[in-house]
Amino acid sequence: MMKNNDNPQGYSLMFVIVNQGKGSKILQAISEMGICGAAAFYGRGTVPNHILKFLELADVRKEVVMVAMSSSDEQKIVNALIDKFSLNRPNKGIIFTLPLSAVYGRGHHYQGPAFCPREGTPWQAVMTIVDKGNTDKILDYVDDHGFPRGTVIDAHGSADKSNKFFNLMFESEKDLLLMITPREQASPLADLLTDHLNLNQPNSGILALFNLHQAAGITLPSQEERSFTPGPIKGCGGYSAIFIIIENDKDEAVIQSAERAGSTGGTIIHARSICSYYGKNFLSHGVEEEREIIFIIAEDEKTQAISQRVSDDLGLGPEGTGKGIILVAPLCSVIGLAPEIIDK
Amino acid sequence: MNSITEKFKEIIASVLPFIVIVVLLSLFVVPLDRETLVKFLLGSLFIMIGMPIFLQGIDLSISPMGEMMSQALIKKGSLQLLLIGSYIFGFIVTVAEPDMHILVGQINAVTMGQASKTLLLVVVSGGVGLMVSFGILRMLKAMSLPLAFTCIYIVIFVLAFFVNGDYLALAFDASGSTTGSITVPFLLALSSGITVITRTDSSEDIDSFGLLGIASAGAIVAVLLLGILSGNPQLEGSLPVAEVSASGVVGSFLSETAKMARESIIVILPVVVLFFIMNIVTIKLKGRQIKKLVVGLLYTWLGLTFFLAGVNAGFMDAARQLGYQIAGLDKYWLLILVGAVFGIVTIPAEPSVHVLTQQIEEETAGSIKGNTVMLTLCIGVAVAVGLSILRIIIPGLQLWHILLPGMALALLLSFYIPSIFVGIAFDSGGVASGTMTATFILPFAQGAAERIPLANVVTDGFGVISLVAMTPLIALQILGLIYKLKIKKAERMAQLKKAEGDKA
Repeated sequence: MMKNNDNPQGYSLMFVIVNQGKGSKILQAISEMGICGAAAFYGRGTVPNHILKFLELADVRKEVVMVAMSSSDEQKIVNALIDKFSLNRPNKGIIFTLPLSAVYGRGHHYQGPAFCPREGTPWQAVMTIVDKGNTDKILDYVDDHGFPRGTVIDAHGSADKSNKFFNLMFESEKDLLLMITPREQASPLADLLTDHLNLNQPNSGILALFNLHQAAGITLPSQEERSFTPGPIKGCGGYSAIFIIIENDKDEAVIQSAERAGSTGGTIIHARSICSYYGKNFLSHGVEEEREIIFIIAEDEKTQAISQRVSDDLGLGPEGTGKGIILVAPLCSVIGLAPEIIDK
Repeated sequence: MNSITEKFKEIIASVLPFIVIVVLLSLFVVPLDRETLVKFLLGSLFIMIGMPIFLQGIDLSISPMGEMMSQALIKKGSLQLLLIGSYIFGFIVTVAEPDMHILVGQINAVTMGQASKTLLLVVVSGGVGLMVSFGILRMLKAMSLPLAFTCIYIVIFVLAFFVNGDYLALAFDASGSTTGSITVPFLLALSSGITVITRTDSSEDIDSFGLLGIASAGAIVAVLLLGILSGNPQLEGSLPVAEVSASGVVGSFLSETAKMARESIIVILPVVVLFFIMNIVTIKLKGRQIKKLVVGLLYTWLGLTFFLAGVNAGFMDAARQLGYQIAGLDKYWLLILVGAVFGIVTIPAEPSVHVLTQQIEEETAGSIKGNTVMLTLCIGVAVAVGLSILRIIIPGLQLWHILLPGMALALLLSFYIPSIFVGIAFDSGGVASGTMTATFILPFAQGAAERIPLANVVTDGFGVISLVAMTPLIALQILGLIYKLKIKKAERMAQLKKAEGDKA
């Protein structure tokens, strides 16, 4: 059993993005390395090719695998995955990790320093949440300005309760754009998106910047194609991102208890997960179960309240019976949060 | 590596076993004449080209269109509008379905033309339309799927009591006719569109599957009612059998391609017209997004044309000859075995199956694997084809001897398994009995029936589709049962492990 702050090195969150069909192999590989609770979900990327784009054939289906691990294991696991899946060769997939400032659930209770580490992190991740339907236009726009295209993940936003029909609530469909850039490119990219999407206006989307520990497998456009000047590196924003991986059907409960603790909503991604002791192979596939990932951005002060509340309400503490894990990652910068958060 | 090359690879891998089996049979067991073999190989080439293009087109056009259409309806928040709208959706896709026209022709023939074909078409499509509205209402009201299917099938059993066995076979075959290559992705998209944007207040999740199963049951009810109203018709041996015009290999492919190009337009057009009307009124897409849909529709049309031309011109003769000749070897075990193997290898060559399995992977975020579902489906259909051949060999074995206990078992199972599998199972029944069954399995069985002395080509030929639609219900629900037990076991293991950890 883990105890409070038993891990001086802290925890990391790893993302692996690969072509469709490899997700389960990566889940399997991670669980064979003894790490439980990896979650996989679908996304799509695009091939930068104008003929294919004209023919509407440029989309590639991708799978994203997300898993939290102790930072002391991180290097070993990242290297093992790079070797096994040739991630350092072009077009095989990308892998990156970011530091976590807190982990709750599955017997863990870790609360690390809530700051944004600046040292030794040459990469940043730009995560943007936008309404579905605009995504293709945004990708084209980003592409035209010489930035690498990202991976698009289907998600939905938490419900608008004013609009009810039967006992149903409508959720707005969202897309989550995930782009990895070297640090000096991240700010210009963030500025570009902020201007283009009017993110400073309320309800037009959210953009968050993460510092990464490391990244591999990324191909960048050559220097000449870039039509921007590196901007200043943005400092710590005082915000954190909370990822809650929970059983299918519990997303509603999570959003409700997060809202009671001061959150203003979340984005839900449908995913699947596997655990090493979850049965042996069945028809050559491990038994994979459905999961939801709820992604919430909040101020650092509120983060702990929200995590604690969700952990208590869903029984994720050491004595609880619930299944799930809460991961908190510090954000370098955030743009586009609802005004009531910004004002305070 | 983009989506279309990936699809080409996937389809070639799926279709290859089928081609290899037929060629091996032709080389070592029953030689096909050269023209038939060449036609078969050319047909295979057509489907290997057509299917990936078709599936890409569906991804780009029919699927997003279906989703947007059901979402546009539901967002209006009016119950009447929703019910009327979904009725129109169900009606219009069924009216356009070519298999439906063949079925209606058959009913018209056996009922001695008491009702005009148009009237019959309207009645059956109306039945499907009603069931589509019911299916969508069921999703929103979160009515349990097993309960819904039990109610529908009790009605079907009661009605079936009043018609004779042969007409019953015709009625159950209707469930296969409603689920064509456009209907399947369209109806799946309608229901997934609703699940994507809605969430119930209670923790109960909306079942995203089951709409197809309910819609095809609608066709069975409608055909049974028609039979009862027209005075329980006896099947006569004068049914119209679709003949392939034989004018050489090239000629038949050319004429078939031209015919299918027209037919595909007729199938796709109603959905397109309905969508663009709705787009002007409420959906309001423009520019880039419209271009994507138009390109997608072109792919759908092109792919469907190639696929249908390939199977119609290339497969029917080969299947009929194989059935006839293998039945002539007087080794009935061989006939059953070959039938079962065909059941296995034709399923991966059915485009609707790929649409369904992809939808399943997306809805469950990959936790239920498409390949696992396809494998189970293959086993189910193998059993169905085996049973169909057995029915041809043993004259006393009536269709309802198999269908009734099978359906009862399927309904019983549905109360014990996770409801997502109930939906998947009932949907896959209609999906399995698609174009490949009609153009390969059915002629194979009919060819065998021609050769076997006591068999009747007409009545034994019917019912094949019903069986292919029935066995997947059981096979996939058994998969659901295994899945449920596995997860239970895994949870027990996890608890044990946790208890051990606490002790230590």
